[in-house]
Amino acid sequence: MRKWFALGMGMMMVTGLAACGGNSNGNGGSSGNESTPAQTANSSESKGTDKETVKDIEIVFQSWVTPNLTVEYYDQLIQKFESANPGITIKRIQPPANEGSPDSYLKTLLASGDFPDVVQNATIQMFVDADALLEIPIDEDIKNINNYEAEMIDGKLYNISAIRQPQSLVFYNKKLFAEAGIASTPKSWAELEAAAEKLKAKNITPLLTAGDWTAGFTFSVMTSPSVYKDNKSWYADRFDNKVKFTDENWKEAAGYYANLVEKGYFNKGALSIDYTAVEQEFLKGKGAMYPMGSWFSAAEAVAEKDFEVGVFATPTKDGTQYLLGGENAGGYAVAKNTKHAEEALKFAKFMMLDPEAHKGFLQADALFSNLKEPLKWEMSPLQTEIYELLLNNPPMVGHMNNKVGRVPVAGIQDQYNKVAQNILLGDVDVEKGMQSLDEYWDKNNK
Amino acid sequence: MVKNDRWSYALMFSPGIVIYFCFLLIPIFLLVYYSFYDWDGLSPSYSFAGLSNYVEAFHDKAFARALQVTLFITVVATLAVNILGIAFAVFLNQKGRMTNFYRSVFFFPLLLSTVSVGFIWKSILSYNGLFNNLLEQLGVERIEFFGNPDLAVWTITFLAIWQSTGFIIVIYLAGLQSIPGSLYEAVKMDGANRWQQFRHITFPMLAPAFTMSIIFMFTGSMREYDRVAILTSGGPAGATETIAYQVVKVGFSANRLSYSASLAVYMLIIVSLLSVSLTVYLRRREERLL
Repeated sequence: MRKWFALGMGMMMVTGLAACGGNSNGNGGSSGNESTPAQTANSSESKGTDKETVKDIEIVFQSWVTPNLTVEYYDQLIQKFESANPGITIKRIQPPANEGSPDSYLKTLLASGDFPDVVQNATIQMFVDADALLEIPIDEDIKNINNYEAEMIDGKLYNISAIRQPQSLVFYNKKLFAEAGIASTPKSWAELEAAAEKLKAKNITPLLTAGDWTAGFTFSVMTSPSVYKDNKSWYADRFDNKVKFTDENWKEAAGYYANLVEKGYFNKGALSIDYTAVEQEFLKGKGAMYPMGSWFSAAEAVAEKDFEVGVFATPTKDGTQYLLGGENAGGYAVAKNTKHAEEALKFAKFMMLDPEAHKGFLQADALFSNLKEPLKWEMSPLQTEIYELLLNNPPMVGHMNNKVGRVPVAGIQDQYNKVAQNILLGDVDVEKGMQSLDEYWDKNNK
Repeated sequence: MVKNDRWSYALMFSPGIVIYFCFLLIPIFLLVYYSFYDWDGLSPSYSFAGLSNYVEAFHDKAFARALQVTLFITVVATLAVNILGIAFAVFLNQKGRMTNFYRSVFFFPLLLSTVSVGFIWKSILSYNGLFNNLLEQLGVERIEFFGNPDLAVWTITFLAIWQSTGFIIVIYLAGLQSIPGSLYEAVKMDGANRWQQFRHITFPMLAPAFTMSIIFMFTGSMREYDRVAILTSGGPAGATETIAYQVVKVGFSANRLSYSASLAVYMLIIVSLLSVSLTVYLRRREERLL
């Protein structure tokens, strides 16, 4: 019944409404023959590198193609893997459109019985809840990853990832800071306000943001560190009703953000531009500070400009540095129902842990290695600054729709966007906004 | 009808019936079926939820707002497209050297995909887009087409009008060409001016085309999704969320597929009731006029 429903809904909602096309070209081995983690581990040990036993196995791999992680990047690695593993062919598929994550695409594939053998960048909790992912055995390869427990769900690991991706960063234009006479980067809320005031006095736009998801992201990275640095399992506590968005610490953080908006520190017309446009605005020197994740440094490294860019952690109330971001998040996962668990797991490990693949992945998206012996890549001066910030930072937790003790209720990022956009529209009733986050949580916690 | 004929007819219409059942009736049935459960679209198990999804949707402020936005876009776009469609069709029905060229120009937007058009207009109308750069050069303040909640709804409505007018013109042109010339000759002899010709001959005789255009625009606009997704993602602060956009967002972002199914059922009921009522009314009008 669900299969029919998914086909119908997929057609009506995705194909019909989104006009994205229902391109389910994944027809890989995803039926029957469930493999338990133990079986997988055993088979790994018993078969090992016995290539002779492998006969024409096809692994369907859902890749995550971005401007940084190109088709060529994947094809080159796939070729390398296939050469080293005769008999195994990799069929690469990808979502028809980049919607921020492959989740919607994977949901339709799962419902129609075409879930790929290896998936990338999926929301792990969601597919674990759907009983779609294989438990990854904790072997020497996994133990070689720092803090691999960070992404465990109920004590079990379902994704292979060895990356650190700091997100609560503020990139700043060193030239404009010098013009405004700002000698050191702000660490506390008060210092940030003082810097913004100096910039505004010089007729420089202090802060840049945009509409769509960027609004919610900016709001989240500017406010969450002050809350989560004192409670690294905030979302888990929210599920247990121990904390709320209407608690004093959250209201105070949101009030601080609304104050920045009210004082006119953000760019005019922010809600009428998108992420791509605001990035260009910053690179053209039209704003002094740009709160964004580390991936921005990849674009900065190749941009032509007449100023240097620096970075600092988003200030907290008391000035204590605490970066938020991904700690071994995303990465590669294996389907529970794959017919070829051993080979799929081997490929997933290869894509994350093979030195060439790992380094390429880090460099393309400006990520940082989380291996016991971290792999270094050619970093730009800005990326080196981020790396140094990370060295002084304890293991990160997520924010917005990422794990803070637990993954939050699905779709909470849309409500963050609404709250942030309302503030940018001039709605100063912050408590009402935070209350709407609680209401969303309660309504969707089902 | 001989027996063999019946079988051959059955054979001929069976592909259509199969397609209709598989891709329309069965999905609608399943949509209704799942709206009574609490399925998230992923979990292997789910349970019966009765009417709870419908009750929740009935009290859902975001849904009420989306309904309001959808009806606004639908009413304004349907009226505007039909008024413009008739006006341009009358203009393009005249003989002239450039007529075919103008027909192509007006029809052109319809040939482009809504998604492509959305991206093109986004680059034109965004705060640092072509139009606002031009305004700045003229010394006029930039306009927040997508950042102002009211203006964003009007912008989406304008683009719906811009893209649909070409098709409606074609329908009216076909209607105009089926009006016998003798009718115009007769009223001209009675001394009717051009406005009187339009009011007493053209407009009444366009009744079938009018019915078709109204229904086409109405049902199409009630499903407005693409432009919203591309231009505003429902923002700012949910101001441009339509029902179709919300159905997809609730189903695929919040993972509440059963609840989104109940929203879609409400949408189905509203669109069906309104379009059937409109069709009945417009058919009666046709009978009265023709």
